[in-house]
Amino acid sequence: MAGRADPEAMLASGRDFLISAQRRSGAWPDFLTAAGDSTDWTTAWVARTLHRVPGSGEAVARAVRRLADRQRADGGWGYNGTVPADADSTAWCVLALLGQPEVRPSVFCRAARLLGRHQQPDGGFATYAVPVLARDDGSSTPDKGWRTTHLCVTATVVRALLASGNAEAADVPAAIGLIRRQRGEAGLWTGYWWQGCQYPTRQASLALCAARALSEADAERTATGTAALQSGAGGWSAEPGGSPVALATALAAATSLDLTASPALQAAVTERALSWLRTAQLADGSWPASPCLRVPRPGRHRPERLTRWHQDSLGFDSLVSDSRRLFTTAAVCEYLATVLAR
Amino acid sequence: MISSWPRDLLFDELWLKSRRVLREALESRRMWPGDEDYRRGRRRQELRGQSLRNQLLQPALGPADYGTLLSPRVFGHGGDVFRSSLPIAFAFGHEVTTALHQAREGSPGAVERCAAAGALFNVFCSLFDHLHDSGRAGAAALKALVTPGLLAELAQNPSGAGFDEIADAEARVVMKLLAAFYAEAVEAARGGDLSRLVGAVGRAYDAELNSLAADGPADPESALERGIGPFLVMSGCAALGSSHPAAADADRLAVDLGTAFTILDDIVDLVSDLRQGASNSLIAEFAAVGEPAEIAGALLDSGALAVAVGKVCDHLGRAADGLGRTGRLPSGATASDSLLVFVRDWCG
Repeated sequence: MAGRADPEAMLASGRDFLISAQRRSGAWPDFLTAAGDSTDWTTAWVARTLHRVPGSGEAVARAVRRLADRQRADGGWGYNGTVPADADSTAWCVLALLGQPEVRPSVFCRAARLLGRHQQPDGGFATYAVPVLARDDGSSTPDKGWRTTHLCVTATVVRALLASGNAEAADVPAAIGLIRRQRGEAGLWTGYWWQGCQYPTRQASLALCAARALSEADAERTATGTAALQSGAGGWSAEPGGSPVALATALAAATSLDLTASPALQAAVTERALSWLRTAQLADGSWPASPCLRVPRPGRHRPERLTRWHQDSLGFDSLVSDSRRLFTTAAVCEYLATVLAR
Repeated sequence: MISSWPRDLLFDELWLKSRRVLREALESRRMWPGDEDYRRGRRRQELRGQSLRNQLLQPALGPADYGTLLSPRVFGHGGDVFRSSLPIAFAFGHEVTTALHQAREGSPGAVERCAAAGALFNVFCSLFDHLHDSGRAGAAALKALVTPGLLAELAQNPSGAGFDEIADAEARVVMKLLAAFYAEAVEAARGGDLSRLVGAVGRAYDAELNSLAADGPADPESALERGIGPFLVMSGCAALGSSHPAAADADRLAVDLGTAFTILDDIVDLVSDLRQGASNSLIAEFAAVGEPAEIAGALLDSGALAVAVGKVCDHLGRAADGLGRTGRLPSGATASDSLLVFVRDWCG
């Protein structure tokens, strides 16, 4: 396709899509699973990404009011209202509510105490601290897989605790140590809930940056490791050999842009990523969804060993798309806002 | 007694009361811009700040360090807040220096360069404070780098500073900003004397170090002095290139503005400063009371908040009166209108 990418125009239409998709309640529901759509987690994700996007103030304010109202008695938020509060949703809600003038300080203190209760002996954070799936007879499904350390959750929790000034609610240095230990050969990370390395790498590197625990050399290694996976057309796939998808592209391009000190690498990666994202943008301003969220059987500890996932099924061991395209579109908008801020 | 409440409730009450008392007082003194005026004014300042950031920061830092400053690789978890508020930090320094320049009846041809120097100094201060408040080891390295000798030397030769060689990225960026401030000041002075400005920078830096050296929270006077220092430097910037400095009036105006914004900042940040043990003139008054929750209770039980808000209004009122006698700013608003947009912005 002819013409150069215009990130400002792409961002404006992406933002308008997100604003038009917001429910009157302020929610941005997405990722349909057996538990229903996610409401609080996805709303927090979209609101957080729109913080930096001009023209989104009112939509963010609606989401913030909703999230602040929905904090539970235990201090947390959940995937939606039907499942227990979890550390990941709570951390994203904290990040979404930070800096919002109407949110009182105790919201963050209570959330931090809940996050602290999710820390495991190895320093990482589990998604759930309590049994998730109770049976009618009062027993519960084996769910230890959901209640052990998850790198992708640990990273977001560290970010939330540090940014909200509540690091004392948990052993943050131990969590940082775990994130550093779990870094792979190419400077990339993998996670429990996510297909591919882009989401875990983005969150882990941001957590280490927030803690000032990522050396310049390590940052460069992650940036070049990420850039090396960029396809010739400029996109990234979730898995090696797969087709490029918008979510992986936005996350990987943002990681590369943020972590390299080389203006030449930044320019080369960004130009191709923008070009790919321009061709991928849909007429309504959104970007296509992709199967990215793993929902392993709750007892499963090593989802990466599972070779066959059920795509978009409502059962376990399924790989779920953000079928409303909100999660992906928000991620791309955040990346575009980052590019424009430079 | 409120002070017997649970800690979370105490902090919420302090947070809410400080905002309510501030807003009511400012509204009653007609110093609270209406919603539409605020939105328009805020947008104008943001655009001005973005333009200043693009125009001043990239040449000051070079492309690699410009990218570094705007990336999450530096300045830790507070860096995001700093980066998103950069345009407003630039706009604030620019607007204050412009207003002080007009108060001095400085030459219209010199105002832009003076204001650019003021804007760079304000951003330098924000970054310097952030680095120190983070308690990072790099802060100690920075403290060792910035000496009175260096401050005087930079005024003579800002371009030969050689800060590119500093290995620590955060310290390097901060020092390059300082050099850029001096380079802009030298240009604005057009060969004139910089000694008054160098003196103001030295005094501001001493106040900063005194406040940081305090074992525990600084005393209220030191905390206030630390806040006023940068405004006196901006007043020094406003005088650059002027043949009739008329310093006393403009410096009084700078002290009023500095006092108002320092106390305002302390009121708005009461809870976060209490929790993080940061320097704050109001907390310093009650430092002997004990733990943060006890200080919060004592603050609520006393009339200290109302007194502090009264001081903000008095100093702002005096500054607005002083600025009201001067003409319109390049932004089209009066100086006092523009500064009140920042006041509301500070309040969150």
